[in-house]
Amino acid sequence: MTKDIVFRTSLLIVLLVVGIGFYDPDLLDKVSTAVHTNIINHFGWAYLLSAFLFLVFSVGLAFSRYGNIKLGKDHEKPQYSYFGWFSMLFAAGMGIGLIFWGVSEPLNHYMNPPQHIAAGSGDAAAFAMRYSFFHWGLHPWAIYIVMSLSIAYFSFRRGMPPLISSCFYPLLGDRINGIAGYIIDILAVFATIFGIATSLGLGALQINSGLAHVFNLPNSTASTLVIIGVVTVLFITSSLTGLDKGIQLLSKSNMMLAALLLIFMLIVGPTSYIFNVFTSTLGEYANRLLEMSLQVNPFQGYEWTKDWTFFYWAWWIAWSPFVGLFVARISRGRTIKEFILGALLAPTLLTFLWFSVFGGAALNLELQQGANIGSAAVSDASTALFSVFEYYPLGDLLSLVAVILLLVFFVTSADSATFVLGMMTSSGSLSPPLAKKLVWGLTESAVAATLLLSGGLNALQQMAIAAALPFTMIMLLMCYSLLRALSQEDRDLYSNEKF
Amino acid sequence: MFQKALLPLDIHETETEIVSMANYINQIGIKYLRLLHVVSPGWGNRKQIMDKLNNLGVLLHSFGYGITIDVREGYTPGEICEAATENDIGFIFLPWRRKSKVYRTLLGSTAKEVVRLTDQPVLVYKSFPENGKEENIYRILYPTDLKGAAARAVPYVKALGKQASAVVLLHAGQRAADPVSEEKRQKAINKQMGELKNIFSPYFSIIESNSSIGIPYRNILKQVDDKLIDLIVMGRFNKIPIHTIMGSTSVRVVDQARCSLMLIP
Repeated sequence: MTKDIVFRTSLLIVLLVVGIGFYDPDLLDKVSTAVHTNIINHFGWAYLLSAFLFLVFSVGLAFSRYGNIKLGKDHEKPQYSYFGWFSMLFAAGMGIGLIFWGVSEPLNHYMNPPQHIAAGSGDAAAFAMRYSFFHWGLHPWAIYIVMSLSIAYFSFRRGMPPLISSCFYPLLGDRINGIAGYIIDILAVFATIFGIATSLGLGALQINSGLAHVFNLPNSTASTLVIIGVVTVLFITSSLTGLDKGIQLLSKSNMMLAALLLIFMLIVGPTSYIFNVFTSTLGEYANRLLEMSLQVNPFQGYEWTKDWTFFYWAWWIAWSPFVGLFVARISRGRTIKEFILGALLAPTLLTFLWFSVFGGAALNLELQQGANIGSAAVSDASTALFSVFEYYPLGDLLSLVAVILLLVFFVTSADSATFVLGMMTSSGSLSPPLAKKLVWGLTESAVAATLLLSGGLNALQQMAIAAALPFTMIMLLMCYSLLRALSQEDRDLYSNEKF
Repeated sequence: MFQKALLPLDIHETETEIVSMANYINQIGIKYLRLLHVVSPGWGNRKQIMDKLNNLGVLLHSFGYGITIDVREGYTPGEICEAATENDIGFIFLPWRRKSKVYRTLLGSTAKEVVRLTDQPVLVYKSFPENGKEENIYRILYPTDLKGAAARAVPYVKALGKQASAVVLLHAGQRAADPVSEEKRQKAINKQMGELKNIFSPYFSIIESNSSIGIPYRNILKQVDDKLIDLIVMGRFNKIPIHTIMGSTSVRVVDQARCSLMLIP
């Protein structure tokens, strides 16, 4: 009975919220907007401080004497090759978002920067690239690392179930198997299901835009629902075949396809311009990392910070239970140093390259060639990428490749989320029952489809972000708990003062 | 170990307070007291101070103590520590004056500063006449983390066995990182606490052993109240940099415990 408390309670809460969203979307919207607005208005600074702390914590830990501790037993070897590991890290962490925002985020910042920067200027372009790097760079990965490192350490090194609640054993003791532990795990399920359902809904809309662009398919709710249906069949099939086969195969092939698209754009596009953008933005990013990390813009541009930076930080934190559990699962056998540096640097550099290629190409079109794609990107972010492709040879083919990338990234994200949800609601079993995975897979799609119909997707996203606030506290405590466990291990290893 | 003590006085002590202190010190077996008063440079009438100290010395002498009087100028906690070091003192006997939290926050406390600065054993004497408790040393609390600092207090606890009849051993530690390690830790602690019990068994008729998890100073304070402890004897827990900011276990116990305590550096 207690084994299924997390499963039953979280499923009940999800269905309840979705029920409200279906029958009275206005009510859900009103409540979620109030909660979301209050959290962002009053605790945005806390997100910034925490994310910065997580980055310092991660880097500090990598280079500390704990860096050589393995996430597993001392003799264990990493389960996946570097390529497989990076591919899955990237696919689960941000793959989908990069396709969506790779063009539209730099263009959005360029067209609508904070009020102290002139819109459409060279300064705005530099700002746009720098903040795109910032929002998708080291901080999100540091957030994921804190979560996944704790889970991996307590699970693989300390032999506890891979659950978020397990990370609190040093602080809570056996109470992790009681109400306190259940609340933590239910909150994680809540954030994961709402996050993935929102992404599924919004992603289906973008796929629809892409297909409409390439094949002139109707951009309607019915076709979006069909897309959700197709994605559901694909990710449930992938999920039921198991992690090793399904997700790894899809992630690797998608990474190769993404790399091909990236290389094509780099060669065919304004190559030296892109490298100039990459180099100078990297320099600015490195130079102003501390300033951006703690910049709330209280005097000018606070609204912009609220809309973008606070939103992103809350979103990454809300996503962290899902990504953290998944990344932990695939990182067994690596040392803490290898894990942190790998997860922090490799995806970040690839992300920077992606933004430089796609964002740089878009800014080149806008600034140098007078193409008017900025306003289109602002009015509909989902079409920005396809607008850029129009100016390139084989534009339709590129759009089709982007749609395939979107589709596969969706499948891998939803597949990973289904696996993680199954794991979280099966007391951390690494082989969650198929029935549970099926229930969660169908629930994700049903939630997305239902709220797409009733218009409650935005409200759902806000609910997911609201879950980020308690999770920030949870993650801060997690850092403390992990440090305590590591120092204990350190004492056991290096001193004679044993119990 | 308990032959010579340094007794800093601010010469505003009443006769009752001095008698109370004298009775308390008597239980420990002190033979010789060095009375110390520190004045701020350029302040205070030396003759008046010496007269008052002489009067207090006479009163204490009537209890059988050998008395030496010392008056110094300077920063009070620093001078107390220096006097203790220079004169080969067994321990510093510090009467605790209750002050409001606001006063303590703004002006600090001499006792806390001495505890922080000195390398000598310190006995912080706290009197709570309103409790109606006799100021006898019957029950001693010995908190330990089973490490070097706590081990240094063992001879002092043994020596106090002549006076006290009961000792409560308290292990204050932190939970291990997983249930299996925690079980091992508990077993190891039980074994070591058993050994500690054997060490103290010739000196005390009642020995109680407890183990606690969590913030050490809170657990110590809880035991003081639950077990009606008369005196805490503790080694100063290993210092880590964060203690400089947050305050060490010893300093917190000094501040908040509702009984006297002896700190062994």
